[in-house]
Amino acid sequence: MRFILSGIIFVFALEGAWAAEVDLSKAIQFEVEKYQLKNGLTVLLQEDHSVPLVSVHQWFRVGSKDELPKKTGLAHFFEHMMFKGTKKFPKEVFAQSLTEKGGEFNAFTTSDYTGYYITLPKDHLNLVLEIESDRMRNLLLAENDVVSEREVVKEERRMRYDNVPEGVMRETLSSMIYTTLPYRFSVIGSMEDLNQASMEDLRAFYKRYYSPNNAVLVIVGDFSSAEVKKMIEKLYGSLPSEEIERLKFKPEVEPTKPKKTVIKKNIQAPIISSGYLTQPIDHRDQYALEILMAILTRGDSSRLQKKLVYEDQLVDNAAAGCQAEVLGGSCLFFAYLKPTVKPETVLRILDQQLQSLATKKISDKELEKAKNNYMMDYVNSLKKVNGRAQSLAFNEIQLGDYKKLFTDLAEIQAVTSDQVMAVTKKYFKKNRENVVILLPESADGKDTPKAKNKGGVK
Amino acid sequence: MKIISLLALTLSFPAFASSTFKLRDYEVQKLDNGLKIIWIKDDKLPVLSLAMSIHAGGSIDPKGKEGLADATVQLLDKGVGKLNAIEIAERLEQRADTFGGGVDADATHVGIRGLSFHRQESLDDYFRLITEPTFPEAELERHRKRVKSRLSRLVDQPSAFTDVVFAHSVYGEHPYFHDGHATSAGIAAIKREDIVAFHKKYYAPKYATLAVVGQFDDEFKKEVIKKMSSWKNSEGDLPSVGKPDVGPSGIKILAVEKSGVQQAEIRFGHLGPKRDIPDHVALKVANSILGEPASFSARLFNEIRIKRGLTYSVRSMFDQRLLDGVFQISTFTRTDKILEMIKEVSTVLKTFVDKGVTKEEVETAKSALKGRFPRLVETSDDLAAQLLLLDLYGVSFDYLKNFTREVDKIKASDVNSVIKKYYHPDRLRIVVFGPVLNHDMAALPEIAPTETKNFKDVQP
Repeated sequence: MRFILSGIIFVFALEGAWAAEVDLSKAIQFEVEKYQLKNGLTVLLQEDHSVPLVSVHQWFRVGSKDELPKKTGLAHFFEHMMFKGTKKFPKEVFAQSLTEKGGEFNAFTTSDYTGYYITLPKDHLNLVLEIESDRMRNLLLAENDVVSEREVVKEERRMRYDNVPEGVMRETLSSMIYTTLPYRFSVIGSMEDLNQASMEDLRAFYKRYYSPNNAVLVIVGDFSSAEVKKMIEKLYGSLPSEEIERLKFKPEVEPTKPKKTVIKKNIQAPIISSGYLTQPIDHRDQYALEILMAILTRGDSSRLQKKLVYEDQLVDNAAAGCQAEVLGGSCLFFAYLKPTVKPETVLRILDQQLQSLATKKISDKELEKAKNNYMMDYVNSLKKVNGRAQSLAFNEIQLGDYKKLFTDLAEIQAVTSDQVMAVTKKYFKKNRENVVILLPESADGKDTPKAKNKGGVK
Repeated sequence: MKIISLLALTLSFPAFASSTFKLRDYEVQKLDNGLKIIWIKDDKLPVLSLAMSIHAGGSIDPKGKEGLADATVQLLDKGVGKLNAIEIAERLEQRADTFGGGVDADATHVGIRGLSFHRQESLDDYFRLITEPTFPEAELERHRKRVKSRLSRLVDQPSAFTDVVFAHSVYGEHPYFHDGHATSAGIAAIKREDIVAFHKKYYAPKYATLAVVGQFDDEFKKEVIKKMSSWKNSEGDLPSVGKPDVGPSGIKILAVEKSGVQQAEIRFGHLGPKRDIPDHVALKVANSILGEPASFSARLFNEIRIKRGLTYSVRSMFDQRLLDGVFQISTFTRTDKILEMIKEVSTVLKTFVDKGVTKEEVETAKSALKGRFPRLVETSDDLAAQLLLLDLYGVSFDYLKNFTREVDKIKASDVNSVIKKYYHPDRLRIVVFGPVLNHDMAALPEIAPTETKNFKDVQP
């Protein structure tokens, strides 16, 4: 998920320790061809003949943010239905033909976009494009498939949300951070809405959002662009485009009060999380926020790992990350406390750490470490054809231009310690804090009464 | 220190002559002290990784000290020379090097990866961390507390918890039961002397294989050889580990109860073959027809998820090791479908064994295995990981070169005979982790003899 948060790659010469010794930019740069069909389909091609594989990613600009009230989970439910076949490729044929070629195929739904991908030996690219172009507009939706798949999706919800402690925390935290934007609902949706989702809902959703002008097709691997372009024109060229009307949302208002929710569950040790509203994905502050997150939790020598895990031994694990979407963003912290540790103790330290970063500049060395590690992670995300296709699709869909994948690197390199301090001060104020505390049911109630409803949420 | 994946750092493959798959080049060398080195040169990206498997894993942890091999590898970077844990982390992380290790039943894995222009520093630090750790007492205490805390909260992750309980129910008291992980009793009993002794005896070149992967030149090769040749061997041999006991036939259920569980985790299985068997490829074909990967057209996925909507995921796998491994089916379902799930999975398995598979299914599975193979060794680090595994299990490296040909040779009759040989529906151990006071949990004895326990009594 990490690279999905913002897109950076080595393209320009690096500053600091690395620059003198190696020109990473040249080592990993790759050429991409971009064009658009008349019906609005955006195509990105990257030839790489060193691998006898192709990876095809077909993403749509639709996610849970596009769901109507009381229809939560529909985007993801529909994603499951995309594997139920067309007239030309009935569901058995669809799965069978890709499986027997050794294809890896799956899909994912987020709040902003839905992505479908297939990676397989290069000889079968034609088959993949036939399937993808066909199911973009000719999906068959059968009642019995909807009935059984609804239960599958509900099991997925139980697995990811209801039966693990983090699920309820994530859902609660989102509903506290966001008050007007659709990110306040989880992508998986509520059980109630999943039970209500009808065939009409699914059909309407499909017609409205699954069209070439709402999609990006990315192909990476061993193929010839000239041939593939002809193929794409033939298979996709006649698909009709669709007028897409987006839902309108009021912008979030600046938070004024901290919020806190305490939940009790049959768990063995407390978990705490906190979240802060930030900015949409294209906002300049995202770069400094990424660096800030690395300073806090990337590696054993990062500030929170060192203090909370190592020195004070209060938590088993600490994690932080920023999630930036098209309409808004947030940064989240999670900490898994040792069984006897009080949540307030850890929250106080988290607060002190943020205060310190908001008032004291970090050293050049610490800044450089954060940048180095950020970039190393970035290189790792591009190692395989599938990873590269995913990165290109992400930047094209979320930032409107795949080139951000390359140009954002300079932006990360340019982040200063003043900027890190400024974003900490701006976003991580006490009155903007949202806290969710998950306590074992058996925990003595001492923390609970005063903690409950401090900010009046839930 | 977290367990890191040492796989895959690079962008690409060497050229292929045609669409026929060709493995990238590698060299194998053995030093005088017994260390085996696998060299895989890859100039595509300025990265380098050093990945080592030491053939001493959790199976040689003394009884009552489960977690010793794990504690040893986790503490390697917590003290060396005058540097303490944080100073070591600072030093490595400043240049974005990642050092990490982990343990499984048969081996200890330890590696470093970073950018290749400072590969000499990476090599120097890596060698020191492996050969000269100081194992401070305070760091062991810290490790002990963290492990205990993590073990106590394992039950909050139902899938991982059920896997641990299942392995124990299949292996009984054989040292494979904990798969290298610590147990609460084990971690409490481990002393610093145990770790020092384990390190002294088993962190030795004669037990180790190192993969050097990425961008390097002949000069660096010489440096690696020089450094690694200075590594001293230890006295003695690896302790031998006995074969696991198959246990009585008949189906047995272990029901583990906890209140508040929203979904039941279910495992089915029994002991399986070791890795080094002549039937390995035929068994791969068989199991991909039954349920691996958990995807469309595998029988389990088709019957349980697609037709019946009973779960989001169901898969079957063989975990193959130096000695007997495990055959395991993993799934989960809603708490009022536990009985139906067990019945349906049992039926699919029984039909698979009794009636066998068709020629068409075998051809599809063979084609799928061949098609998936290039992704298995897509990057140079992927290839290194595969070679290290083969080396550990004593399988010839030619396995990769010949894989496609070996798959081609498999006939439906071969597959049907390995099914009879390695799948035993009459010997299933079933573990269900579900809620208390539940109708289905209470009705489990109607299916097979059932032992019911509270989750607190099976805590690892």
